Amino acid sequence: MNTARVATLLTVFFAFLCIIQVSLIAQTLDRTRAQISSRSTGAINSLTQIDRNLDQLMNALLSSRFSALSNSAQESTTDFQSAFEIFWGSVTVLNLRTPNTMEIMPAATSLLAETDNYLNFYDPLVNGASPMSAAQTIEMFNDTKIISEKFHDLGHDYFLALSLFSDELKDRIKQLYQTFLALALMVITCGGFSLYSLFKANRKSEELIEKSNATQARLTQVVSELRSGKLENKAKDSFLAAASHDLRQPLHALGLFLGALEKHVEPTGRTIMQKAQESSTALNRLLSSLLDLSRLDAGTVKVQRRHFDLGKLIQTLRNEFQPTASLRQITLNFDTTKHRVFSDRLLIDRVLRNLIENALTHSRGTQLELRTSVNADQLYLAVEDDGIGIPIDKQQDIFSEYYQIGNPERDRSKGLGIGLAIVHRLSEMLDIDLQLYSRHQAGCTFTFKLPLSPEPDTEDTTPSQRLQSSPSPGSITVGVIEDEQEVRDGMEVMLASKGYKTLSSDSADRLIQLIKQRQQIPDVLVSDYRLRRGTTGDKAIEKVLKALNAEIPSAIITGDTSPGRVKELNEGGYKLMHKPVDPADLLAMIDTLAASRYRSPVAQSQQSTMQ
Amino acid sequence: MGMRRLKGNLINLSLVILLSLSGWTGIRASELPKPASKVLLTITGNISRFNKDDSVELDLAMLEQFDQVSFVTETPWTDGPTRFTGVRINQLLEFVGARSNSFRASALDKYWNDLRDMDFEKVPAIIAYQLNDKPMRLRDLGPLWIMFPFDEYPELATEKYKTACVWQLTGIDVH
Repeated sequence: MNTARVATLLTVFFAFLCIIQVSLIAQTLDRTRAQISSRSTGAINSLTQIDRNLDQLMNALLSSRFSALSNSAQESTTDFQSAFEIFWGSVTVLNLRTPNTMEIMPAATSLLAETDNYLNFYDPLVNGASPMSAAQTIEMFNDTKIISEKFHDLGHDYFLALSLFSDELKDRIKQLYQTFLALALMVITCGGFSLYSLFKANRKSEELIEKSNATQARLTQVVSELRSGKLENKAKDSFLAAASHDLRQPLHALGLFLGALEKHVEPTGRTIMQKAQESSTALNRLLSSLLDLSRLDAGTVKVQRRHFDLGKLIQTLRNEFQPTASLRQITLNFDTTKHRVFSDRLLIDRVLRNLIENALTHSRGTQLELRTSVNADQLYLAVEDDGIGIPIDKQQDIFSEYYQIGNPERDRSKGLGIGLAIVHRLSEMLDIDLQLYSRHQAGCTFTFKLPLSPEPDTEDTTPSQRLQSSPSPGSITVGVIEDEQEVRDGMEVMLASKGYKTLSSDSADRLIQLIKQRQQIPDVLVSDYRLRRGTTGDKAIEKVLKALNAEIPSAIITGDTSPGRVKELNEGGYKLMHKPVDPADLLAMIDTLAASRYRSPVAQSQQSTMQ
Repeated sequence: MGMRRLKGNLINLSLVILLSLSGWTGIRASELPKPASKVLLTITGNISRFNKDDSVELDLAMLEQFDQVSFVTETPWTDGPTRFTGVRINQLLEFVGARSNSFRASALDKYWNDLRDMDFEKVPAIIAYQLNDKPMRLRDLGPLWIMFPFDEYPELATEKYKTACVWQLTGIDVH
């Protein structure tokens, strides 16, 4: 950095010197050119000619005198007349040169003036009608001689001046040569410094470019992560996994205890009991929707399209939501339809459920309609309310997670605001072209379309149907592995209150021991996922099955909603339940598992072997 | 250039043959007219036509017979732009049957200058007999003056051509 700056300064300094040098050289050269042209050879020639012409004139004058003596005047007169004219001509030329040569011939001006007088004086005599007298000729000869000597002296002066000028020129050329050498040196030095600076700058700029490229790449990466929501999702996933685990455990226990408590509460406390249960259920539902979202993010939800009876689904929903709607004084107008559609029943159920829940919770309207219409091979569904609507500028936002219009105080009783986010994601997965039509204070309508199905219902029998053939609770023994005393107790109490027999312990080893003591093989195994000493539920169950050499349908309850874990366990083939588990759901699951064991032990064993 | 010179030489050669033939017939010297008044210019040397012995003598009237060429130029020897009027040198050389383009021009004041291989077709030099439309006296550096149109051809403004501007011209000796 410092050397570069010094180099730049030196370059500028030398460049400055070069400019001065060049201007000096130019000045000197110009002066020299002027001097040389003023000391031209023409002046020398002119002086030589004048000198000779004067000699000629004097000779002509002399011979004219001799001719006069020998009586041949006519010819010699013509001779000196022409010599006089020729001299005149050469003087005219020198006259024209004087302004240039004044510098070196200061005597020239006065001499030329004198000559002018001489010429004008003798012109009438020389070119006169009568020839000059002897006296006149001699006088003219003498005057001519004086002028001739003066011109000779002028020529001598000029010669001396030129000699001196020659020396001066030699000196100056030497000086110019030295100046030129110095200039060349400076130019080379200057160029060297410039090149050095250039290379330095070049290297620096290359480094800068590299750095900026790296920065840009990182920026691009970060921006793309931001844009794709990867960062957000990462953070959210880890938060959800941690938070939900911590929340689930106590909620789970609470649910189990409340279930067990139901019988023991006096009729007077029933209402409070019921409210407590409702609250518990609401909490469960919130956590469940969080879990849904996290599952959708993980991509564990796969669309399984089947033909199903939409009318039946709508009917179920109507029955389910009727009490809540009445409570909020909202009239439900659900169309009945006989059409069957081709889509994922469970996911469509979830979409409709969330839309209805959303309308019931947030619309503040009095009517909620679910309409169907058929166009060609498409069935259009519309969920319409007459509530406060959604302003146009908010219509994009409502599909984002945790967004709720008109709930800035984040009243939790109104949900987490993830219902529509789930709907949005599901609609994308299902490709059902979800549309929102709404205006402020004019209600809102969500529409989507489903392909009509011409085929009969290929839907599986629902678990509830299977439950009908399940054995009675009294004949079912449930093996429980749960390391937390509180939850295990809750489970035991709840299951016992519903008439199930339980074998519960905090680890696989204890359970095996217990089973061997009691000589009772459980019909269903339920294990917590995260057990002590880093063991997990799936490993514990495997251990028990191996020790008993039996095939027992099993379920794992986990508080871990991290999508990765969910995926892993699903792939392991276990029935998975998420904390907090609603007691009713747990019982249903146990019944289902038990029923499957009773119904087709062979199939079960085969399936397990295959695993 | 080479071709042109060759062509010129051929013409000259044919002229030589023609003239030597005519020499036999004795009409050699009577070919060119003789000057009637004062001789201003004498051309001698390597020429093939004559009017007096081995030379050609010209008076003002004869010079005025040629195409009159005129131009205005500044010179180191005149005051301001000056009009020179005269005859193209190449025309004169052609007239006397000059066998080369090199010659020595000499003056009344004993000044002389040699010009070698001049292309007078290209360089429009003249022998001027008028300065500013008037005949030149001796003191005006006349009566004849070799002049180049320096203003029109700035490339001629060198010492070579300046020294070739012979004033008070009296003779041309073709080499």
